[in-house]
Amino acid sequence: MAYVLTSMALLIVLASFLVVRWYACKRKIKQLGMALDTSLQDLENLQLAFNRFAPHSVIEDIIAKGLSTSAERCDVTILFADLVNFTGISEHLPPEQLVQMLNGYFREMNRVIKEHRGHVSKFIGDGLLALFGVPEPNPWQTPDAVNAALAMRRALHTYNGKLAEQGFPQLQFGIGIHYGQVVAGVIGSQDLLEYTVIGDIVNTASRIETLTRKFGVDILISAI
Amino acid sequence: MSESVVMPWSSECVLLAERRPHLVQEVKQKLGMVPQVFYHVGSLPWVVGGFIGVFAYGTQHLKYISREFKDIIHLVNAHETSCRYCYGMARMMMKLNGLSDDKIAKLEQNMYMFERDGWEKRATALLRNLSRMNPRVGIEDVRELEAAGMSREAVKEMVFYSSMNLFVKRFTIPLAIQPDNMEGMVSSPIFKFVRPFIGYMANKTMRKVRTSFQAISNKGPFAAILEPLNDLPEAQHILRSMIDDAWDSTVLPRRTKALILAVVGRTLECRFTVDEAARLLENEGYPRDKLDKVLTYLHSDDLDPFDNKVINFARGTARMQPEQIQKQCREFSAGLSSEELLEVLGVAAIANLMARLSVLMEKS
Repeated sequence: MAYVLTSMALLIVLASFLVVRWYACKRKIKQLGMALDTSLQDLENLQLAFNRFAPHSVIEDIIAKGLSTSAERCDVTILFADLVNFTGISEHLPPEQLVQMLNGYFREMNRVIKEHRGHVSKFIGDGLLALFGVPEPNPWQTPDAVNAALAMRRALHTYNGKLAEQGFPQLQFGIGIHYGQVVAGVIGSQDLLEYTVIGDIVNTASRIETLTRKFGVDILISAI
Repeated sequence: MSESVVMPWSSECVLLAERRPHLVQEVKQKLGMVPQVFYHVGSLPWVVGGFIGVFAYGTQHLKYISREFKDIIHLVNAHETSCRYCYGMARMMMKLNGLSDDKIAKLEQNMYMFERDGWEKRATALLRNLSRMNPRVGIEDVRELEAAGMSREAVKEMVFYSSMNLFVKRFTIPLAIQPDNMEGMVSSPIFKFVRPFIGYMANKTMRKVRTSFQAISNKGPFAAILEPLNDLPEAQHILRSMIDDAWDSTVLPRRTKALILAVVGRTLECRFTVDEAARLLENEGYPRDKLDKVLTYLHSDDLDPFDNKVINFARGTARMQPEQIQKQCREFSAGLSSEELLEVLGVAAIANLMARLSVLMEKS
């Protein structure tokens, strides 16, 4: 009798222990699930934020495959835009107003370039480098770049109207467009990486843009 | 992805919903329910026919892929295209089929964490590529999937069903169709208690209906791309009827439709779609050299302003971001009748569909 009672008591203790453990595990799983949900949400928000630094598909690729230094050779159209005599303007404006004016200009140009399926790769001082044809293939990258340049001219005209209302000086730009082969990918050191392109045509596009001053035009295109 | 995920989506539909009693009756008879999208595309019969086909195939005719994998196809396609409507619809259908929020969340987590092993992992990767087409899906992807253990028939069915889903998105995304009202209802706490009953009733109604698709002769535009579907006669029927009806529709001239097919084919780097479009254009008296000029510059003085406008819009349907394409569609739709807008979207959707299905042709 004592043996049976002891066995039953042990059984009850064991069952109680298992029930408690089961509840604890269940609670833990629920907490981990919630933490996972939160992490996923954070990741999605992070992804949205990173879309400002690189094209959407590049971010997706990094998420799927991890950061790698892999790059690919591809044909792209480069649009290089630079403000004319901006150094002179900057010397006569307070820094806050200068940044405000420049940010407004970049915002407008970025919008127009995106509308024409381009991607602003980087801002270099008062200049910008835009790419057409990467990371998504685009059989009409050169007409897109040319149409983007024309739309940028119209957008600058409108923006200058707004600047005039606020008493700011007028902006003028030079745009150089060139087409050719580059190596495109996520490039840089472990501390600083960026999605960009490397190749002679980048320099050529920059030189073409410089020639706009010599020829007295705002847009200059190579024989693409 | 949780329900609170940000999917940028216009709050206004480009094409307003219209209630057409005959259409509602027909769709109810064939599907047992009327998804919201039908109220927006009802003015063009061939599009309605195509939609009935894809919904009926998904609920009544799937043979080689499981219901769980069908759910994965819906979720992957919705995620990859950021289609708010389809995401809501997929969740709603899963909930009606008895899946709890936890189970759906687990499914989505598995899908993203690549925990699923073997062929499921490869199939999910192929579905993602099929949605984006960047890079273009190729024969090696299909072979890899077969080697991983998915049967040839199942691969075909998956590619067909996913491509048809992506066909539907060529309407729901540009038109910014709002998620069904039921999405909100099924997410409410009260629904948890009544879900078994509603799910039972909905499934009972859907099981009652059966839309039959007889095998038909595969002759007409894109016959070569439809050929690998010979062993999926229902799928082939749905596509054959839809393409023939679209081609015979008189809303847009055939030349305009073939130009859309060519431009979308070129955007997605699909030579099969471009060559078929070129053949159709030659039949309409538009020679290949003129088409080549259009495909080089995406513009031609030979074309009237409407055609030039249409091809410029159509290219945007190949790889779309909702915000951009919804804005473009709103601008493009100005001055067009609902039938014209739907036919442009529909033909562009067919071109997208053919470019994706041609993966199977490359295999043969």
